[in-house]
Amino acid sequence: MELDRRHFLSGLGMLLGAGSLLRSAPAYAVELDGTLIIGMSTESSSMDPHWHIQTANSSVSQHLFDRIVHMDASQNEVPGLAESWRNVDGNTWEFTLREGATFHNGDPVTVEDLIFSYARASDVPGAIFNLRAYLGDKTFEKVDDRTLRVITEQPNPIVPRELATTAIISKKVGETALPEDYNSGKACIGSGPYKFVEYVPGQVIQVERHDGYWGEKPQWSRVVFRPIPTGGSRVAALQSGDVNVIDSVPPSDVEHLEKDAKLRLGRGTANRMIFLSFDQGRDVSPYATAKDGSAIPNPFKNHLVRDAFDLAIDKKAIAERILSGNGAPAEQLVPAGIFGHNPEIALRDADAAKAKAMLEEAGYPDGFKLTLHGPNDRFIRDSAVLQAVAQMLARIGIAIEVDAMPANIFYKRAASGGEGGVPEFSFFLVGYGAATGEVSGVLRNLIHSYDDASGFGSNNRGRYSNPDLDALIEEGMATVDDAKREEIYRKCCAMAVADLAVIPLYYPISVWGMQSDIQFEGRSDERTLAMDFHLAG
Amino acid sequence: MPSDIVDPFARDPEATARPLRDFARSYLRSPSGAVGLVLLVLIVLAALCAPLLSFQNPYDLLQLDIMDGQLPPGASSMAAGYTYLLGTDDQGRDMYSAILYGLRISLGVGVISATTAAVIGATLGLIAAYRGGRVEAAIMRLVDFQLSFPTILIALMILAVLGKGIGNVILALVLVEWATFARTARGVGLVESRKEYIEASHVMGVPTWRILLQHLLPNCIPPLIVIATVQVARAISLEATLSFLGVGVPITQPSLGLLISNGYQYMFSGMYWMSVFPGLSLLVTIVAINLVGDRLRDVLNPRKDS
Repeated sequence: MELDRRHFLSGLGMLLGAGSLLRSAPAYAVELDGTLIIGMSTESSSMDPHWHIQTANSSVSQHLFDRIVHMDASQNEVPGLAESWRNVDGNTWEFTLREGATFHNGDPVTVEDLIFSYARASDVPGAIFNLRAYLGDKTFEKVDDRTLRVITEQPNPIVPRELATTAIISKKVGETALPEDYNSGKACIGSGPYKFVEYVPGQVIQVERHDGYWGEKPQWSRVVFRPIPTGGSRVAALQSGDVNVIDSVPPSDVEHLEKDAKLRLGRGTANRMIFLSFDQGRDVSPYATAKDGSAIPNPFKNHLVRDAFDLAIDKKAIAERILSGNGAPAEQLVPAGIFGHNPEIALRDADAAKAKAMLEEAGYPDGFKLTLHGPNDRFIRDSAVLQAVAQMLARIGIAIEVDAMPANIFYKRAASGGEGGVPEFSFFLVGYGAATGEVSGVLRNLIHSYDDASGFGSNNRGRYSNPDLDALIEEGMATVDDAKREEIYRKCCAMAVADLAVIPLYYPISVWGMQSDIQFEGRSDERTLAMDFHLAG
Repeated sequence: MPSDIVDPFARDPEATARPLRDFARSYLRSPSGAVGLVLLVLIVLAALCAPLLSFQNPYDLLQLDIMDGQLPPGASSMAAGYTYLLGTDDQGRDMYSAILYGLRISLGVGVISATTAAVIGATLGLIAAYRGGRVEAAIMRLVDFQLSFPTILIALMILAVLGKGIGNVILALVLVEWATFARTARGVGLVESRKEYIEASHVMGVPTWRILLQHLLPNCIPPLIVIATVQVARAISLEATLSFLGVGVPITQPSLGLLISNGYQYMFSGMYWMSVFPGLSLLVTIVAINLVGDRLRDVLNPRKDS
């Protein structure tokens, strides 16, 4: 009995006092050369910059470690440790190292450090995500003390972008260091604008300004990252002044925070697309059946069915009602501003009646039975989006069920949960980001036919396959001339959209919340960098 | 053994002529017990008659319209022509209807899992008490083992393996709850089986199953009823927790826990109705059951002269 009440009361307490879980800290007003406290939705899983490449880790590591090429707020390449670079011929690039860049321990950054970093990043013990995807096709050579030569197996136009993913560490320090040594701070020595101070998993990461930094000096002498995973708590922490900045403001809070005179919001359309994927590989798809549950031939092999689905789903309503401005309806694979975006592709208006007629024409006058799978803790409001999609498909006669599950279970099953290790689901919600700032990653990994040997189509869980499009994608990837490449990519996008390889649903809009005396205009790569935040005025 | 042996202890000769009325009278002597009972009856009736009392079937996707989403209490529907008494959630689900349907799931899951757990647990507990020896040791060590893990952890693990769904939630709850019943049943069973009437039945050659079912079980029932009531409340809150964490019921068929979880994201935006109303319903339900359980414990306690 007693135990019972305790459980119950503690549950209630959690519901009502979400904000009270935070350690109460004195509220600081921001000032020049002061401390900036950032509340992060996701915690960096390691201080080792090569261990796990996800947004939170990249955000933190960008403070401590430079790359040879950096990305600005809309993901254009800007000089990092390399002050310039040039394409010698299709397969060869040369990067000129900046003079005067030093590590936090005073050592100068050398070409050896670069070569060592790329070798280590491809082979970190226990790494969750391996940077080999970006580095595997490259050989690195030292030309002279300031020149690094990169040779690729095939002509590769996006070498600078790919190298922008990999943090540069010191060879001297890094040779003997394990990922643990980065977490303790011992090996956490980079050349970035901030130096390591403290890392307490689950609680805090602190960094302080590196005065010998080669680039523009950030305005904050100290930056504190605090993980606050619960949306409501994060908002409460910002409102109470416990933190100065938060990332990923929940959609439901955007409206009332906007009205708060003490706060300001910064937005950036993410380079990510959230989409619905069909099983187009198997002849019979396990979760698409007749209404009585008996097996039917895979309906998604029929273009008309895919088209009807696309027409039935009101993306504008989802963006407006469910995401309340935290998402823009997606008409193609990448949002405007990303290289390869095709401005001629327009957003379609939803039309349930026409979609129903198309489904009838395709031979499903009464629809069929379908389970829609998706994660429930990965994207903003993901389970609400799943339900809204289900609602819209129910209107054209699909007997639809929704199965939303935690992302760590979902992704495993989505990739290999089916019979014989194939992707399990018939119709599912996933997302893909153009991490290199070009549409090529999406085309290569998501749209290109799946090929285990070459790595093409590595994220093509629906097994969509169009040989003509494959050829075009490969042609684009080997075209170094920017204008020509862009034209090819635009054509690829148009083909993929017309073919309904996937149904693009929305581009998430990342929203940052900050005190009104701080200024930040948002980034497209979702990273939260203290260097981007400035005192207003 | 001849079956015509008279079994003089099959019924308690001391029982009063109107046991039920006496019981009711002593139960109602406590105002809080009475209030709990009235609330519980109302809640159960509301849950049973949910389709009659609600405007909308919140589980039928065709009746939902996201254009009606996030409406405050008292707003009228744009399409369907009724008033949303408690507002709508982000999917355009009428909160009032969703709470009634959610109560059905919560109560159903609670009652079914507690009953099943009671049957399994009591059977094993009584067998342990009556047989003793190795059987008892085996069963009770299993119980100890089970009780040494936090229930939420076991339930989460089971659901992670089996996947979501109401059936799996019930299964998980049964698996975490049976041990409590087994332990109680064994405790009471041990006391009772040392008593003379059991010994007498034994001496008279009454078969074991009959001793267990007809003599031991009826006399162990009162404490089990109390435990069962409490366990129903516990199962409901556990189901709500699991759904809140996103591993319980399917999202298109929200139980109270899932409704709270959905609305929780809107807490700070002023759309309080999405989580407060289901939260209150859950609170009232659990309080009512616990009040009834408390009172039953007092009334059924042989040591307490009520």
